Amino acid sequence: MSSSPISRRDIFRGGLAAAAGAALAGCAQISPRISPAHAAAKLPVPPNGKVNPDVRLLNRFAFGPSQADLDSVSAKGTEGWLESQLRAQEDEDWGFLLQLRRLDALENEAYEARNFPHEDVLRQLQMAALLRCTYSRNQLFERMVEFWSDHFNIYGRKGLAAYRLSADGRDVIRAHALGNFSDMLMASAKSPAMLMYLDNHFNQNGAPNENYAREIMELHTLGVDGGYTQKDVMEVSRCFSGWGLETGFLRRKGTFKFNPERHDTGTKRVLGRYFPPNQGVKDGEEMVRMLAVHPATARHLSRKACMRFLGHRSPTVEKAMAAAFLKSNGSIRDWMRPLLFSSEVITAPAVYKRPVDLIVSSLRGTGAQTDGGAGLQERLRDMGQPLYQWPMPDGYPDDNDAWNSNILARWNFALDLAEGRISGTVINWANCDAKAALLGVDYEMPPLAPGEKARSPKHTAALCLMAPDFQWK
Amino acid sequence: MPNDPRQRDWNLCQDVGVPKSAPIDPAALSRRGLLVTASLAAAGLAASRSALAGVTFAPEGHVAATQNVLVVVFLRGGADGLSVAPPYFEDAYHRARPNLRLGAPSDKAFSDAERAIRLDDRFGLHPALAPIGEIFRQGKAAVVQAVGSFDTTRSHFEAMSAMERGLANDGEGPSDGWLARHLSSTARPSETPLRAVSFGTTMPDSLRGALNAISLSSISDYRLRVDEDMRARLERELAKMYGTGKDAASHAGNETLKVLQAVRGIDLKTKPKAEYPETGLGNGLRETARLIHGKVGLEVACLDMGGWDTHVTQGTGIGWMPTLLTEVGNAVGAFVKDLGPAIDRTTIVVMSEFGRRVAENQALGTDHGRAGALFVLGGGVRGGKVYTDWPGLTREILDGPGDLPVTTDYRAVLAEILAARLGAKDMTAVFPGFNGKPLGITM
Repeated sequence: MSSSPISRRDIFRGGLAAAAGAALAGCAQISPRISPAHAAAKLPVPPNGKVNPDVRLLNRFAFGPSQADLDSVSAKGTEGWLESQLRAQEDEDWGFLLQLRRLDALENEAYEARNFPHEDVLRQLQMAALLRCTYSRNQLFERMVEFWSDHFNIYGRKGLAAYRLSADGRDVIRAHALGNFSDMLMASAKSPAMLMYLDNHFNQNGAPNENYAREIMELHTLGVDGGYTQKDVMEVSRCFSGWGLETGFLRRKGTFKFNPERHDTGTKRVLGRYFPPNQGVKDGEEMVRMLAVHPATARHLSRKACMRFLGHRSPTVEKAMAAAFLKSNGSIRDWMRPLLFSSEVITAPAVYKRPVDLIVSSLRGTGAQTDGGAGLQERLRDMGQPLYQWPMPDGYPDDNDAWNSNILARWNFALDLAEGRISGTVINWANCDAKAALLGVDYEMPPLAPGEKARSPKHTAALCLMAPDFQWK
Repeated sequence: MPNDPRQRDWNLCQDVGVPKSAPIDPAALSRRGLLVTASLAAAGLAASRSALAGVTFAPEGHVAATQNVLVVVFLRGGADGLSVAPPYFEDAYHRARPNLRLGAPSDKAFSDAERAIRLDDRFGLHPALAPIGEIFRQGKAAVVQAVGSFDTTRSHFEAMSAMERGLANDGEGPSDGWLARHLSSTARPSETPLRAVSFGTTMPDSLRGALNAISLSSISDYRLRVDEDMRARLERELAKMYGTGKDAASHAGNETLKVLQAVRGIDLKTKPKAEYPETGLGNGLRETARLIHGKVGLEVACLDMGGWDTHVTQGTGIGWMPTLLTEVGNAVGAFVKDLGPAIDRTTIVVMSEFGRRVAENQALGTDHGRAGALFVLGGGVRGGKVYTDWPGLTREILDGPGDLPVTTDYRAVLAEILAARLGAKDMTAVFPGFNGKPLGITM
């Protein structure tokens, strides 16, 4: 462990209490929906007194600190590290790339992947996600991939969705994760996986289907309070009529195809904007562009990002993010800057780790080797976050209370990891200090009872990972 | 939304034969008054026994409540109430659903799988729900039709949030769940650790903020994976680590340690007295029955079932709907059978965030609507009856794009059950802003 995080933390401690107090006070007025009376009913987060700024940074914008990351942040400084992460051009470890190359399901197009059993495809997709979170050196990029994967959530067990998810992950999420939101939304609207998941391929003249039309406004862009009406939902579905999938003989079945014969050629009006007749596929395309950079979209996305990365609403950061988003026509890098460089990253309240957070930060903290395979995925499922398997389009929940009722599965994961019972995952104890999982946070180990044997390194490591503090980031 | 004409309609709803007295007052219902009186005697007895055992018991009044259990099954995605309990007497129903309608109970032109089971002269039950039809016939199940919240967004998330927070719609109001508020308003000095459980891996919003609610998927797997000789030491260490913190994780850890202990006392050897479907709902209800039989102090169990967002290929005899309903019917039927006499202290509610549009769409499915149907089954239910202020299906009655208007507030059902069965007293805490009347659905 490098010594710099410790000393920085100690310097930081003095000034932090006041700052944390200020942040909490600001929190009371966060959401118009949350009245003070029931804010009190929420279960408390731990006091912020022990925040190590480097650990906090890596917990929020990476998947927890590894020793290499801590060294990198020390060397580059916070700003330098964030800038390099925003560029997302770090060379990846060849061993990691080799592991990814073995996942055939990632390489295939949606229309080809049917040769694999469904469960294999889901397993490989999850392997890829877990490997990337654990080993990628472009950690911020992977955090954004996680954010957008929840934002554009697709249930991998609906119909043939699993087979289309690798293309969606590649061409929608990863292609634009730090790019332009408008481009990402367009790619998503035309993604076979999304077309099928939210039934937009059923949408045709005289028989509109409102499912995607509603969710693109409620979840993907404007937000439920974004000012649209049921009438807008119905008009948007008319705009999308004729959007569907290739089904023709000897064609690349399952790719996006606009079918003019199924399109409603009449005029439409969405959010007060007039769509002239006979525009064909342009109805939907113009509407996607309009929704993508709508001011309500900027507000909605900024609110979501603050909840995800800061763990609370921040009027200052949200305002700055929304302005940057609109000014840059949806540049995700520009939009994220006010959040990434905000002092609130350190002063914001603790966030309860979601299961992926807990697992990956444990692996990174202990320097464990993993294949991301079935053994790890089984634990992830037990904790409630089997990837690509959240049925509803809103993605896995962010708020602390959704996750903390199931702590036993976390304890058992820690025991299994320490004892080497997770197939495909192993800790090299020769390289792992028993308290390596602490990485900069002082967990207090309970004192030994009289006559109790000293703890083995495994036992100590398990206790560290089971500690209440380790559940927070 | 006090200005919503729908709510005014609902306030006029009086065809269910209950007193017009406004806010729900448990003592006002005479049968219930008797129950409370009887429980006081029982409480005295229990208290003296408990003194011997060194256990702190609840103040009187709550003791009767501890005998009863509420099981809430939430059908996620908006279950189509017109498929669940079709209004077969309405011509408009048959016209709006040329492909998705069920035949009237006497209409032999339909196969058994597509013909409703008769509930009364107006409403039927989907044949896939036959086990529930049987319980209805025994007078232990009731159907509430045209029920829902006053959320008009037709968004799953808003509508679910409204219902799980116990509000008219998803606006201003507490963010914790209605069941969490019920549990805290009836909290006793000494809580049992298994007072509320949710089956699955995450907590539903209705239990959000509950201090002693846990999620579990299987009782037999609810243990620390260490050797028995290490277990005591590890639990002691965890108790030490989790003992001092005031944060949510520390709280959950402490609860979990108590549950681990309680669960060790549950009999897992006795086989269930019924065969449950091997599904999430089936397994969850089987485990719920174990907890009820185990008398561990369970009061509330929450189970979720997804898949109800049937925009396409909803089906009647074949399709999503009959598949889903078969699972519900078989799981609930097995649960009731397995409980045996314990059904008398168990009340089951099966609900969903909204119903679906009256007219079918072109993909043999239905889009998001407003009012739906729900079931109440079990002990204390005045069953064998469909409770509804049926609004009809004529165009001018339908809401927005053609949806069944809500004429019964879902909270009327839940509030009555809480008051009659679970000893709730302060309904304003559980359902702030609600001042409806009981339907008379409980005895």
